[in-house]
This record gives sequence, structure tokens and C-alpha cells, in this order.
Amino acid sequence: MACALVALSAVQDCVPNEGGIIKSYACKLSDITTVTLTSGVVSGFTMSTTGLWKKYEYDKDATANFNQVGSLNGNRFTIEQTAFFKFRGIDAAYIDAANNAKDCCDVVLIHFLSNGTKLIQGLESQAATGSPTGTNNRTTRIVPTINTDTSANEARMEFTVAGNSNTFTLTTSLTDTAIEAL
Amino acid sequence: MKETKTDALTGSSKAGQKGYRMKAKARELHPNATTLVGSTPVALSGDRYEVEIPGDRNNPPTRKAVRGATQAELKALFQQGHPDIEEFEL
Repeated sequence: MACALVALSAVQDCVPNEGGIIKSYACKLSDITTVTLTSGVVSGFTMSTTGLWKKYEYDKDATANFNQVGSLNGNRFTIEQTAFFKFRGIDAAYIDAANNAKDCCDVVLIHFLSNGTKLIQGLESQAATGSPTGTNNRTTRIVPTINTDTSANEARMEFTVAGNSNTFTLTTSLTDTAIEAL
Repeated sequence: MKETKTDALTGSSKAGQKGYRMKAKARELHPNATTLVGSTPVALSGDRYEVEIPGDRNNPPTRKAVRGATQAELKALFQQGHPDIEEFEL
């Protein structure tokens, strides 16, 4: 992308501006054959078959988040993308899900924010419709953790999803209904 | 999709008319490639298919059918620049 500066203003009414993420959908990078862009926003995916986006409905306890932290090493700019969310309880299904998730080499997640914005983790930005590119510097993977903790707290499974990219995330105009239909 | 230069029933020529189809290489790699047209999933191959969706802790396994994309839908995808769709002479 070429250098350009755009005027910005944070001056606005004091309407609620909640942070965090409220739900996510995940698939393997290899499940996506084409990303369709309309005016720089992802308006569609072509998948290798149907039913590949899996929904994550995690705990709504003000812990789920997705952060993109830029950094410079000399003149080299990179972005560490990290999502965190957790599911209360521990059972065989969670353990099975964790064992399967850890083996995925490259994943893509769509995170829903409470303001309606949807961020796509795991893809580099692209200028036109075409095949997707995963995060260039380090592939995006799910790192599950299963903690019993103590009786004072909740037993839980936590997912950290991390990758390192050259560009900030794309957004999508797809609704949750459309993603589930796909 | 069958390519014909002449309509089998009427014998009339279709020279100059265009059809739209999934590219052979893409079809070989992803025979069930699926995208949304509006809110409806369609198969780029133009052929209907069914798959088994595994169950999870909240949902039982189900079968899901996806219909084939129509020529009009393939044309629209081609015009949007979909890299896996090509135009051909009928």
C-alpha cells in the first residue's frame, strides 16, 4: 500500500463504545478458495465445500478480545494479531475440540464486535478478488489451554489465536446468517 | 457443462452466444466449491451436491444440500471478476 494520511477525529457523542468480541466463526485457510472484495470490504467467500465455518460462542464475561499490535524492528513493520476467548467447563467434547484445533496449521476467524464491525483474522489484506493469503510472517494458529483452576474459580478451556502479519485485518459485510448458510 | 455449437432440437446456430462455467482446473481441485449469491449458497460447478455436516455438542449431524449455480448466477460471478469462472462460446 502506498503512503497516505487520512484525517481522523475521535470527537463524537458519548454513545456506548464497547470493546471486546462477542462471537467468532473459524475455518481452515485451505477451506477458502476465493475472497471476493467489494470496495475493499470482503463481500463473499468461495469455500471448497459447504458447512466449513464453525461458530464459537464463548463466555460473555468481558474477557474475549482481539488485538492487533503494530511494531517496528528497525524499519520493518509487523503486526501481532492475537485473539483470546474461553469456554466454561471441561469435558470430553472440549478436550477433543482442543486436540483438533491445535493441529490446524493456518486458520481464519471472523470476529464480531458489538458495534457490528466484523474483523477477519488470519488473512493478509488484498487489493482485489482472488485467492486468500494467510498471515505472512507467522501462520495463524489456535493455542488451546485447559485449566481446572481452583474451587474458587471456574474450570475452563481457553483459546488463544495468534499470528503475525504485514497488514491489519480486512473487514467483511457478511452477516452471521450468511456465514452459517455458506 | 456440454458445449454445443448447434441447438440439438431446433438445429439453429448459437454462434456468438456466451455461456459461463467453472474453470476445469478449479473444478478438479474443488468440485464442491460453493459461494453465496445473495444469501443462498450455490455450487460453482452448476451441479447440486449434498454433504454430511458432523454433529457437535449442541447439534445432531445433518445433511445439507447445495444447488448448482444457474447460468445467470455464473455470469454475475464472472462479471464480478471471480477467478474460477470462465466465459465460453456456445
